Amino acid sequence: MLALFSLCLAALGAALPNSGIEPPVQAAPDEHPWLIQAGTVIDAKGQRFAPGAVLVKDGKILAVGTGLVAANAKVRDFGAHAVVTPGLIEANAEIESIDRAEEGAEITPRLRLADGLDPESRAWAGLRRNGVTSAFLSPGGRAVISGRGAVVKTMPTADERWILDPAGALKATMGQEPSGGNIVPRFGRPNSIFYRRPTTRMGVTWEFRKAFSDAQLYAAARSAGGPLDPDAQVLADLMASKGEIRMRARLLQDIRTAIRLAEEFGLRLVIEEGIESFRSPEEILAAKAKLIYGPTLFEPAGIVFGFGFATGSVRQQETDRNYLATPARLHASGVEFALGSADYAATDRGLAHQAAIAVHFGLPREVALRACTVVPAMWLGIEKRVGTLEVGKDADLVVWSGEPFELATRPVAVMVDGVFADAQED
Amino acid sequence: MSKKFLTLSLLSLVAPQAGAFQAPEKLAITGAKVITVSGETYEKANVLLENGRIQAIGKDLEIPWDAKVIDASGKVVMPGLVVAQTNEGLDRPNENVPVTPFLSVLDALNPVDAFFEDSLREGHATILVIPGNETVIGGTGRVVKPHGLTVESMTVRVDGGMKIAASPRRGVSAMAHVAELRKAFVEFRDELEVAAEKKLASAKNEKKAEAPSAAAGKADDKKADEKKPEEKKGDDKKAAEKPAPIDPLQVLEWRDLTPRQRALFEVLSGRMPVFLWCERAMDVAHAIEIAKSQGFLARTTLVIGAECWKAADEIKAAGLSVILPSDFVHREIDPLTGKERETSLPKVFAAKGIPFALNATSRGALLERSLLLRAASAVAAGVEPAVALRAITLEPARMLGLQDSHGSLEVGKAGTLLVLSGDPFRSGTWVEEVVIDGAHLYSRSKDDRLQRLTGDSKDGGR
Repeated sequence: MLALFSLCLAALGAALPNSGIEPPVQAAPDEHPWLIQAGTVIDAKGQRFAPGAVLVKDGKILAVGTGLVAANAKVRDFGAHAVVTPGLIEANAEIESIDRAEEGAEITPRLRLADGLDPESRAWAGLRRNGVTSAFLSPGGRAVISGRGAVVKTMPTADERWILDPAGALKATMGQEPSGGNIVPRFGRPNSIFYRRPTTRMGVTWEFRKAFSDAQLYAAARSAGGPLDPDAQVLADLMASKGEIRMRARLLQDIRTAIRLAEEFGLRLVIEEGIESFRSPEEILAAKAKLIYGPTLFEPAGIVFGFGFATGSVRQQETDRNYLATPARLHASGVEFALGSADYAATDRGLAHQAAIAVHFGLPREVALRACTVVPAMWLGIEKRVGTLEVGKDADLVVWSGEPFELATRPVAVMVDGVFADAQED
Repeated sequence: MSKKFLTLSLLSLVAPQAGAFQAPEKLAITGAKVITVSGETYEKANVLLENGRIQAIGKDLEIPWDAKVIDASGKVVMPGLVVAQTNEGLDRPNENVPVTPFLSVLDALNPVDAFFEDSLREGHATILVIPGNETVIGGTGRVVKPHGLTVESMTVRVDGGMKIAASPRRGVSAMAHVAELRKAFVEFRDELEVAAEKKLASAKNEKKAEAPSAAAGKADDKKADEKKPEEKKGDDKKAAEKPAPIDPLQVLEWRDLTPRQRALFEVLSGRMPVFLWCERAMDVAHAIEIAKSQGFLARTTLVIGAECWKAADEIKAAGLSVILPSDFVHREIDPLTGKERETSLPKVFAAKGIPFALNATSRGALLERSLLLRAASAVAAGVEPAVALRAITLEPARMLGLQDSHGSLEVGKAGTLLVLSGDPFRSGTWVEEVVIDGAHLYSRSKDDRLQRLTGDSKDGGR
C-alpha cells in the first residue's frame, strides 16, 4: 500500500508542484515525549494555565497543566507571551485545488469529495497557517446536491489515517450558485453543458425536492426488489436515518428555503455560510439548525460598498448584504454557531483571521474559541478525538504569538497528531 | 425679551454650522493614556490644545475654565494618523498623457468623495493625495485633511510632492518607459538651458544699455563674466565641445519660468518632495539612478510594490525611505520546487533599519482600509509595536516634510489627535474621536453608518 502510494507520488512528481509540506510520514512511536511550554495554555474547556505546558507522546496528549515535568522529554518553550490552544477546526473549507462538484449534473449525491483529495496540495499548509488542524472539506456549490464532504486532519499521512471521515455530511446548495452559469436553450442547438436548467431559485428548489421525492419512490420500489440507483440510495438512506443535510444558504430567503426543505424530508439541517442569518436568528433557533457562519467578507457592505469577485458575480450578489458584526449579534441572540471560512480557508483570510474579525466586531473571545474548536468538533462528530486539550485526546494544538484571535497575533507553530508543522517558515 | 431669546436660540442653531471649520480656541482632552510616539507615554494625562496647536501635555495640567473638554478617561490618545500617499479622492488618478509634471491634484480633488469621510472615521487625519502610478511624471500632490468643502480649506501643504513612476505603466515595456522618463528630464534641462541663456543674454543687453548711466552691482558683474563664453553659443558643435558652464537651476528664478515648467523645476532644485513608484525590485535601481543623476535623491521616497523587498539592500545604501503597499505580504511560488514563500515586508525593512510607512487603501480588503489595523497586522508579522506605530505617524509625516508639525504629540505641534477606545493594536479598539488642528471633527457615538454596521443602531441593522 505504502509502496504503491510512493510510486504514485513519484509519477505525479514531474507534473505536480510540490506543496512544501513534509513528505507524509508514518507515525512512529516517539522515543521521547514532547513538552510544550508557553506563557498560557487554554484548554477550551474553561481552564487557563499560566504558565502552562502540554505533554505529548505518540500523537496523544499525556498531560495539560502548570508545572509539568518529564524527565526524558524534548522541551520546546515558546516564551511568556505565547498562548497554546487546541488546534482549530475549520467547519467549512472549500479548497480551490481539489475537485469539488461535478459540473455536468445537478444531483450527484453518490460523489465523495474524499475521492479527489490531493495530499500534496498547498492547501494543507495554508490551513495550518491559520492554526487549523482538522477541517470539513465542503463540496462545491455548482450542483444542487453535490456530494459528501470529508473530514480530515490538515497534515496528510501516507496511509488514510488523516482522513477522519471519508463520507461526511451531504452537501446541497440553495440560491443562485447552482444555477448561476446555466443558460436557457432558446435558440440554436444546445452545444454546452451549461444549456440546462435550473436557471432560477425556483428551479434549484425543485431539483432538490424532486431528487428526494424520487428517492422516496425509489426506496419503496427498491424494497420491493427494484434495481439499485446509487444516487437515490444515498438520499433514501439519509431520510431513513434522519441524517444530516448541509445546505449552503446565504440570503434569508435561501435560509428559509433550506429550513423548509429539511423539514419536508425529515432531515437535520446544517446551514453553511448563512450570511444573512443575523436577520432572523429566531427561525434558526426554532428549526434547531446548526449554523456554520462565515466567511465574514472582506468587501462588506454597510460601511463602504465593495466588490467581491471571490467566486464571480453570484457570490457578490449574495454577499453584499453582509454585516461585520453578525457573529456578535448571533451570539447575543442565543444562536450557537461554528465559524467557517469557505474559499478563504487556506488563505491568510482563513479561520484564525475570521475569528479575529469576529472578536474585533464584538464577539466575546471565549465564544470565538468555542466556535473554532468545541462546537465544530461536536458537530462533525470528532469531539472524542479533538476540540479540547485533554488527556488522551489527539495532540493537535496551536501556539500563538500572543492572545489568540487578536489582529496583532498569529499562529507561530501548529502540531497535528504530535508532529510539529512548519506553520511559519520565515 | 422673548424676541431676544428667540434671536439667540436661532443664532445658536445656526452658529455651529457656520463655525464648523473653526476650531474652538481651547480644547482639553482629559484623563487619557497619552501615546506621544516621539517621547514618553503618559498615564491618566491631559492634553491641552489652543488655537489649533498643542499647548501642553502632562499629568497635572490645569484645565482652563473656558476650554471645551473631551473626557477620555480610560481611553488612549495618540497622534492623528498620516497617509503617506494615496491616489484616492480624485476624480481620476491618472492622466492619459504620460509626462505631465505641471498637473496638480488641486483640479481633481473631490472634497465630498466618500474616501474622505472614511478616512476621518479611520483616524487618517493627514493625507497626501497624489496622482497615480500609471504615468511617467504624473503631477503634484497635496497634503490635505479629510474635512472641508473646498480643496483650499482642506490643504495642509500645497507642494505635497511629485509623482514619478520608474515602473512601466500598462502596455509599455520597461525599456520604453525608462527611456521616456530619462528623455523627459533631458528635454526639460535643455528647455531650462535655453531659458537661462535667454535670461542672461537679455540681462547683458540691459546692462549694456544701462552701463553708461548706472553702476552695475558686483553680482551682476560676476554673472556677466560667467556668461561670456556662452555668447558664441550659436554654433552647436562648439557648444557641445565645451562643458556647459552655466547652471540653469542657479540662474533661473520662479518668475522666469512658465507655469508648465515650475513644478519640475522645483523638483530638480530639490525643493519638492518626490514620490517615486517602483513596482518590481528591478525598477529600484533605475529609480535610484535617475533620482541621483537628476539631483533629487535627498528628497525622494520610494513607493514600492511587494516584490521590492528584494532590493532592500540597495534602498538602504541609497539612504531612502519606503512606503509599503497596503497588502504588504509578498507571495511567490518557486516554479521548480513549487515551494511557496511568503515575505512580510515590514519585518524585512524593520530588520534592516530602513524607515518605512505603512499604507492603507479603501479599495482593498477590510484590514487594508485602516492604518491602525495595518499596523496591528505588521505587529502580528513580527514588527515591534513601537516601530509599527511610527510607521503610521511620524515616519509618513517625515516623508511629507511635516515632521515638525505632525506625526507626534509635542508642544507646539498641530493639535491633530485621536481618542481610541483602547490600546491601538488591540482587537476591538475603535477610533472614538478625531481632532484635527484643534477642531473636534468626528465622534463615533454620532457616526450613524458605523453604528449600523456594528449593530448598535436602533433598527439593529435589519
